[in-house]
Order: sequence, then C-alpha cells, then structure tokens
Amino acid sequence: MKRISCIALTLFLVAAAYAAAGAEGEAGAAGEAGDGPLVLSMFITLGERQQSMAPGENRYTDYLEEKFNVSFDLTVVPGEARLEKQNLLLASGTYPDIFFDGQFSPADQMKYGGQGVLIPLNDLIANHGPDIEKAWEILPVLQKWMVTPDGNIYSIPAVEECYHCSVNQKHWINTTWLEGLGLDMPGTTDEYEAVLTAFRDDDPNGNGQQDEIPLTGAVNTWSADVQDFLMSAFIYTDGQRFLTADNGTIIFTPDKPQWRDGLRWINRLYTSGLIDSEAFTNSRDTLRALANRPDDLIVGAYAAGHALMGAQEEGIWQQYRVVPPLRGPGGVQLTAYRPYMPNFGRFAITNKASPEVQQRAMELANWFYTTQGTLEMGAGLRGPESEGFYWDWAGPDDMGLNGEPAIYLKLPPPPMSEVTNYKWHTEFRFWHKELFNGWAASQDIMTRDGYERFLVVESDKYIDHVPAEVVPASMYFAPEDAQLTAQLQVEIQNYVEQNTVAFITGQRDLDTEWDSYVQGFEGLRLAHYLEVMQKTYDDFQ
Amino acid sequence: MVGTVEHAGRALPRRGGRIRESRVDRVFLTVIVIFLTFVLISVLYPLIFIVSSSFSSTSAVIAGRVWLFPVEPSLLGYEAVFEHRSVLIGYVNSAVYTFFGTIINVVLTVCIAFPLSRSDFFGRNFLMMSLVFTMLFSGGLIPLYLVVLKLGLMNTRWAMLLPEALVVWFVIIARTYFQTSIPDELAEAASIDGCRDTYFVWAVVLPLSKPIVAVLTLMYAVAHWNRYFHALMFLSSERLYPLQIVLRNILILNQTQEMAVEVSEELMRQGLADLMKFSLIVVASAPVLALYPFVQRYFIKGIMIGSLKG
Repeated sequence: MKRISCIALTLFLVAAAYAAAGAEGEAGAAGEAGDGPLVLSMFITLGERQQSMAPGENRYTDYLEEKFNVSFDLTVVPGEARLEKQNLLLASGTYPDIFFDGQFSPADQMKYGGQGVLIPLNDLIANHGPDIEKAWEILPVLQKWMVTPDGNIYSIPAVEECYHCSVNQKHWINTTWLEGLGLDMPGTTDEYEAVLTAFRDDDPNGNGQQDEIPLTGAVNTWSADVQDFLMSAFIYTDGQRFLTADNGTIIFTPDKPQWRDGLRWINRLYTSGLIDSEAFTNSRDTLRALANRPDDLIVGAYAAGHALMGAQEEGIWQQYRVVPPLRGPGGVQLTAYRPYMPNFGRFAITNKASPEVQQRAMELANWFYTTQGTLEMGAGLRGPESEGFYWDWAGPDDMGLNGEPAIYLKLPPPPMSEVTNYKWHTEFRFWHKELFNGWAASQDIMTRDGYERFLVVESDKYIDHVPAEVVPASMYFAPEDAQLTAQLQVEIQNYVEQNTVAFITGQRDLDTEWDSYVQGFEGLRLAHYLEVMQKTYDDFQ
Repeated sequence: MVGTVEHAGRALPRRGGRIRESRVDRVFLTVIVIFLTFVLISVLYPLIFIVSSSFSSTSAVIAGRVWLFPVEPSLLGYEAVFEHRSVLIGYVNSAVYTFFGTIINVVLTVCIAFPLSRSDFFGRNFLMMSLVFTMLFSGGLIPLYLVVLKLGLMNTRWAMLLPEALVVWFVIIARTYFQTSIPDELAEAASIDGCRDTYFVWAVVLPLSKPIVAVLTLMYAVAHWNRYFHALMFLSSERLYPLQIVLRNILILNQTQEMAVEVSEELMRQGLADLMKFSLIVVASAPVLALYPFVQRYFIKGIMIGSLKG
C-alpha cells in the first residue's frame, strides 16, 4: 500500500514543524555551550528486556557519566534495527559523535572511513587506549582485524572468545542406551553406523515398539545441522563457507571426491532410516519436543551446538554426551574450528566529534577492554549478592571453567520477566580466553550449575581434531571486490546447502548427477571467488 | 427417501430430470459442505490451538501434548504477561496510537474524499492525480526519515500518528462510496435550504456513510495496531514502544543462529518465551478480534460498494 505524500504531510504540519525545529535547535546549542560535563552524542542498542538506557533511569549510564565526567545524549535503537538505523543515520547525515555497539562490516569501515565519516583511531588508541594495545598482545590477530588496507583503524571490534563455541560441530548421544545395549562410544564412521542401526532395531528404550529415532537435528539454529559432523569424517566443512586452508592455499571442499564419499555415506544412513527424515526441516522447538518426551525417550543422538538445545529436562539431558569426532574410512578425523567470535566494527567515532569528545570517547572504549569494564558489560556493577549486584570477584576456593582458580563469579541474575536497568545490554567488550576460563562454575558437571564446565569438558574431546590452519572469519577485501565477493559467497553457500540436502535425501543421484553439480560451480563463478579469497588471505598473513 | 424418488420418477417422467438434477445438486452441496468444513477446520484449528496452549502448562506445550484442549490448565502464562512491565507499557502505547491515530486517519480521509467525490470541486482531477502519483512513486525510507526528523517528530508519539496519516487507497474507496451513494441533488437540496458544505458533511453525508466509516476505522485501526517498522525507525525511547516491538523482542529471541556464549541466560530467555508465547499472542490479538464483530456487518457492505467504479 502506498501512502501519503510528504507534501500533504507538510501542509498539515507546517506550524508544528517550525515550532519543534526551533526548539530542538536551541536545546542543541545550549548543550554545547554549557560549562557542565562534556556532551557525548552516541548511538547505542537496547537489550531485549531492558527498559531504559537514559541517564537517571539506568544505573550503569549514571555510573559511566560520573566516571568519565560526561553527559550522554543517546540515540537508542532496538538491537534488531541496528544496521537499518545505522545506515539511515549515515545516509541522512544525522549521525551522532559515536557509534557504540554499531555494526560496521569491513566493507562499511572502508567505505565510511574513506568518505571521512568515520575518523581514523590509530593515534587515539596510541594515546588513550592502553588496554586496547594490551589486547593486541593478548590476542595478536586482533590488530589484523582492526587495520583496514589503507593502514587506518576505523572501528574497534568486540571479542568473545568462547572455548566451547569454537568447536560447535557436535553430536550428542544417549549414553544410557549405549550401556543398555552393551555398546562402546563410536570412534569411526562404521562404528557410528552400527550404533545407530542398533538404536533403530534393538529397542533401546525398552517399550517394545520401534519408535526410536536414531539421529536427528534441526535447521536455522545454532549448529544443529546433522550432516556437518558426519561430513567431517571425510573432509573439512564449517557448514558455512566451506573453505579450508593448507599452507596458505585456500581450498574449497564441496566439489572434492571426498565430499562425494561423505555424501554417499550420509545418504546411506538417511535411506536406511538412521537419520530422521525430518532432520532437514525441524525447528529448534521441534527438536526440543522430540528429545524431551516424558514417557519414552525416542532420540538416540542429535546434532546441536550444546546439549540443552535438545534434551533439557532433569534426568534426561545428563544421559547425552558428545560423540567425539569420527575417523572416516580415509583416516580423516576433523571438526570445524572457529577460534574467535569477533563482532566487527562495534565502536566507531564520526567526524562530528570534537577533539575533546574524541578523546573521551576513546577512554570510554578503552574501559570496555579492561577486565573490570568487560565484566561490567556482562553483569553491571560489581558487588555482593545481598546488595543487589550480579557479579563479584571470585574467592580462593572458586574454580573456573577450565578447572583452574577462577577470576570472577556470576551471581544469580534477576528473573527474565523483570525489566532490568542495571547494566548495558550491549556486546562491546573484550572477553578473551582468560576471562572465559576465569568464570567460576560448579565443578559438578552433572548439574545445571556446572553446565558451562560440562561444555568445556565435552569440548576437550574435540579440540585435538581442529585443523592447523583456518580461514579467518572476516577479512578486508579490496573495495572493488567486496560487493561481488559477498554476493558470490551467499550464492555458493545456498547452492551447496541445497544440493547437499538433495543428495542426502536422494532427490539428486550421486552417480548420475554429481558431474553436473560440480559443473554448476562454474556458473557461480567459484574460480573468481576463490581467486579473490586467496589474494585477500595472502594479504592478511 | 430413495424409494420416493424412484416412485416419483416413474409417475412423472418429466420431473425425473429435475430429481436427477437435484441429486447432482445434493452431491455438489455435499462436496461444498465437506470442502468448507475443511476450510473451517484449517482456519479455526490454529486459533483454538493457540488459545488452548496459552492455558496449558509450559512443559505440556514443549512436549507437544497439547493438540486441542488445554493440558494441565494453568494461568501462569497470563500472569507472566501482565506482570511484565514492558508488555503493559507497550499495550497502553499501542492503544493510544491506535485510538488517536485512527481518529486522525478517518477525519483526514473523509475530509479529502468528500470534496474529491463532488464533480463541481475545483482542481479535483489535479488533486486526484497527485494523490495517485504517491501510490506509484514514493521517496523511500531516507526522505521519509528526514521529513520526520526535520518536523521534529523523531522520538515523539506524533511519529506514530502522523506519518502515513492518509492511505490513498482508502481515499479512493471512500471517494467512490460518496460518489455512488450521495447524489449531487442531495447537496443541492441542502444548499437551497441554506446548509453550508461542512454542515452538510456532518449532518447528511456522515450518517448516510456509516458503512464506509466503519470500514475505514477498522482498516486504519488494524494497521495502527500492527505497525512496527515506524516504531523501529522513529522511536528511540523504550517508553514509547508499541506492543509489536515488545512482542517481537520476547518471541523472536530463540530463533537466533548465533552461538550461546552464556547458556544460562539463553535458557532463561527461552523459558520466558515458552511461558509467554501463546498468552502474549492471545492478549495481543484480542483487541482486534474484539473490534471485528462490531464492524463486520458494515464491513462487507461497505467494501462491496466502495469497490464499484464511479
């Protein structure tokens, strides 16, 4: 439906417009001229259950205003509208001094940096960002992520180095069933197939019916695609970009013969009923419903980034443990590896900021690269539970996620139904490996309190099988390549995903249609895409 | 019954054809009834399912044990909805936007549609053309954003009331209705009696046009109630958010493809979404559903008449 023209709107509102515009102009002028704290106009995103970021209403905003002697003029944006609103502000020229928790892709950084909208941060970091420089020492690749090809830094990323998330390609198997049937944890593809067959035929839940689903998964959620784990016993796959690297050479895996062997095996599992026929359409909620049947358990194994995405009820989830990466017939035994979770371009300063504002803004950014700032971003101000705080330094007896002495402990957060204004629900922080491990948790991994530790213990079984070299999650493409590469990447990814499912479910035939599938990559300009990736990867190293 | 038909067929051969025809009719009707029953079930079932789920316990819903009637009846979902402050704030905001927004819409639409329906209105064609022009071409998002910004509407309630205060499509419907149902002679008679145009609209046209006003009200009100994108773009204060944003924030959460850095937090969210999902949908749809029966009798009549070309 098309709607009112701007002309008609103006006719109705001409008087109000003049009044309002005038008032706004005065307010802006007064804010800058005053002697009070420095005014920082800032774009910021709002957490889902947060009611206010405004000074006077949000405890953490007040704290930062006092700490940095500033006054925030916030443009608050719901998290999901982040990118849209950011583009709108930039395109309309009404952008603020600072983008805090914005979303500048590498291409955007180069574009807005080149236009002069985002200012280079190199000198500011050198003079006012000591903890950011320290972060470069802790995580050397971080500096590479920040410096654009023209040598300038236009934005600062957020870092979440989550150990168990780095090896997320997991299958969870019901160990009670394994024991009941007298089977060992499978170690090879053949053993896994034998176990799944036993799950199908030998009535492991003991209800006399053949209602078991040996293996299932879900789509459109975090790492619950059933095929990725299985394929990793034949050739490397990350389930997204399908790239791997060997001695600096980028390799695309889905057109290799090993990929075909993998598909052949997965197709066999599928056609013999070992993989749930719904596995490629299930939603996460469906997976959860399947795995938590109260009467008889029916799911033998499922793919999921973490166990509780499937089995969740007490007494049920404890039965599921990871299947370690399988060794395939060719001796391949890999798992996808995503060592860091950088969120690029979270913090940027625009050319509207005066030198004082720039300096203060960098001090603010630096704060969230300190340990305390990072922890405050996660849980607000520090203090004891009895006084209404949500984190504190760990005691000498507290053990962290890696089983070593912990750094901090999280106190029970307020219930979800409560509106919370005690912290900023944004993602801009430097949560590196040491802080992840320093998170105090119960060491009893069979309880919910010890669940984070449980994930670490289970992930330890995967970490030895990560490839030596991975293609970085994000790189700076040359401006002329950026758009086409992004487009090709999406098309190639969709093509591989659709065809993988088609080959597994038997809609396409591996014997007769494989060649036309491989030829299809020519139409998607795979060679050009790989050439650009290779060039960019060379520059990155 | 069959015997009677056969007997009648033998006695009166000419009517036999009609009886056979009615058998075809009966088959036809049966097919239609069966078909409509399927349609009814397929439309009604999701509604019943959602209402039943909203009154069931969370664990029953997750385990998929609810299929028609509530299982382990519980009001916890509704309690959670009404205890959630953002939901209440959003509810009040949406009600305000819908009420005042609809008044503005309907007043403006009638005010422009009536003159456009009169053949003696100066510049009628030009005005109509310029309205239709905006249906075909629009400035896009950035100009709209700039207009709202420069008018000082940004982050005020007006940003939810004034942009798109007039939908050209509804103007055309209303104009056509006035053209076909309010004859020019009526206006002439009124003006001979000394009635001014404004009073004529108020005292004669509006009472005769209840169906179209009801249609406009309903369509505009539903649009306001569902409006989401404007809020996302123009509002930056949580106190002004309409229900739709709050709703999305709570319900869309666990659709994410991202990893779970803090699993406990994610599970808490999921628990809340599970608890509130269905009750929230019911609560959010109730006002529109409640409005519908009152307007529906006008609705069919009004939209049929309006669809005729003048």
